[in-house]
Amino acid sequence: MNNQQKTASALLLSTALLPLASMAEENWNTTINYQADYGSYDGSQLRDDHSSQGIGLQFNYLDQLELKLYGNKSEVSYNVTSENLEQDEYAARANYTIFSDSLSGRVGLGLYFHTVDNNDVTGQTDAVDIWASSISYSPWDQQYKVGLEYAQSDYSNLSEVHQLTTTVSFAFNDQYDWLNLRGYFISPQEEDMAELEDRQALEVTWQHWVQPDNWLGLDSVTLSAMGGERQFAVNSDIHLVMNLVDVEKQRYGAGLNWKTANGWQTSLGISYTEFENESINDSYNDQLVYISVGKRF
Amino acid sequence: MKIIFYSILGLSIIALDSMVLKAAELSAPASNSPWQQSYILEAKGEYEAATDVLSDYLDNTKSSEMAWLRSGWLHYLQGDYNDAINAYKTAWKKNKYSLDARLGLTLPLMAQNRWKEAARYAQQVIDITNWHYTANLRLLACHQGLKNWRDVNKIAKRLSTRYPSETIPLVYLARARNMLGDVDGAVTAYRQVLIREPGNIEAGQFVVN
Repeated sequence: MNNQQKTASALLLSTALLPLASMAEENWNTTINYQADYGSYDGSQLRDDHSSQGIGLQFNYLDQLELKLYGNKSEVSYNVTSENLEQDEYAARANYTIFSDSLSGRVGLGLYFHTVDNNDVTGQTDAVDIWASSISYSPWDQQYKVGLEYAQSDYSNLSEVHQLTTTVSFAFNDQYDWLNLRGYFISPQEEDMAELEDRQALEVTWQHWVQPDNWLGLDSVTLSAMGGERQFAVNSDIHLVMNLVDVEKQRYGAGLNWKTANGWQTSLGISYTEFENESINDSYNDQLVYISVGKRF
Repeated sequence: MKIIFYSILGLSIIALDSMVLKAAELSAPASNSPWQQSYILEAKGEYEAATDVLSDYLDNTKSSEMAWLRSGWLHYLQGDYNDAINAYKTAWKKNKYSLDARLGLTLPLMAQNRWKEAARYAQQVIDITNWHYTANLRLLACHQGLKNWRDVNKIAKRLSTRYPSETIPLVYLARARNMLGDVDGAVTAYRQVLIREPGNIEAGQFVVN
């Protein structure tokens, strides 16, 4: 961990302790979450498999303020003789909601920071800092939501990457279904490398809340698909930074979510993602399973 | 005789004057009262004007409590939900025992779909006085907004037992049962609704289908 990351960790920890002082207040909710995933690369000349584990802390002050802290440790193993890639990530997010009578809805303001440290021998994916700011709007009845996020990723040994993310979501079926369309517009600043170019992608996520007391005890199911091309993509909602030079071509995912009355939240999911390493013309896919277990206090 | 006549006349005039004065006292101050004006303006739907006429009463004194409560209500009617929230909170500061202020707060918060916060204030009233009908109804609305159907089911069942002649708890009970997959239970509850309110559209449509 370098000095910058030590500072970031200290910052995250101090931010984490802030709401604890007021924890006696019933207005605060705390959620702690553990997640793990395992993925196997199929058809890759270089990569074999990967796994990661992460811990998340979330503090909510009613509907007004949300603070999220996240730490993750991951490892990638290779088919070729090479040391495994070990990576540490830390992220923090703050969301503040303004309840605006003049706009008849909620205006959300968000600030996000994510830092990545790994032992990549090429150095290309190491020492990455991401800052993102976002704004969103949804009417009082929350039938739809529109959002805009600008993220700047600083790959200190490679390039700066600018990303604009547009989000349009809407509810239907009496708000038992939620469709989210997320457009990625990614533009690396460095243009001398052939692999670095502007990329665009569209991600569609559908979430359906099922009737309570169903036979699986489910809360909701999620399906998602991504088309287009993503490289160095950032999804601050799920603390995802794709710090790969390889281009993500398409992705499909499915998830099952459970919630209990006493605050437990569990998710199980699978995904299939196609990648291409354009410099060595290597097309491969990643088949991933994940689990997430959380408790709200 | 003349003396008696003038005395009677004089008394009559005094009495008449007194009656006129009494009538004037009864009507003039009442019709000119800012409170009366505010109620009249509210009835006409002129909520902003109804608030404005009470502006002199909105101060930091203890006696301003009612003016702040009324300001909260009138701002709520205008859709100025943040102003309504602030007014109700000010009223609450004037009287920490006020259930009206807590219940008032639930209205603009519910209008802004801030269900958790509204539920908190409704619950505070229930914690003070368990079976407060309005507070329980507001809590039901909040849990429905949060899709907490198990809680809606539980609260609606208890409330309909305490207020057996009321329709609304039974409507919530029927909705919750339906959402929890108990369709027969929902039909039973909607039939109870139709006994109390034969023209209830929601219950009528559900039972027919």
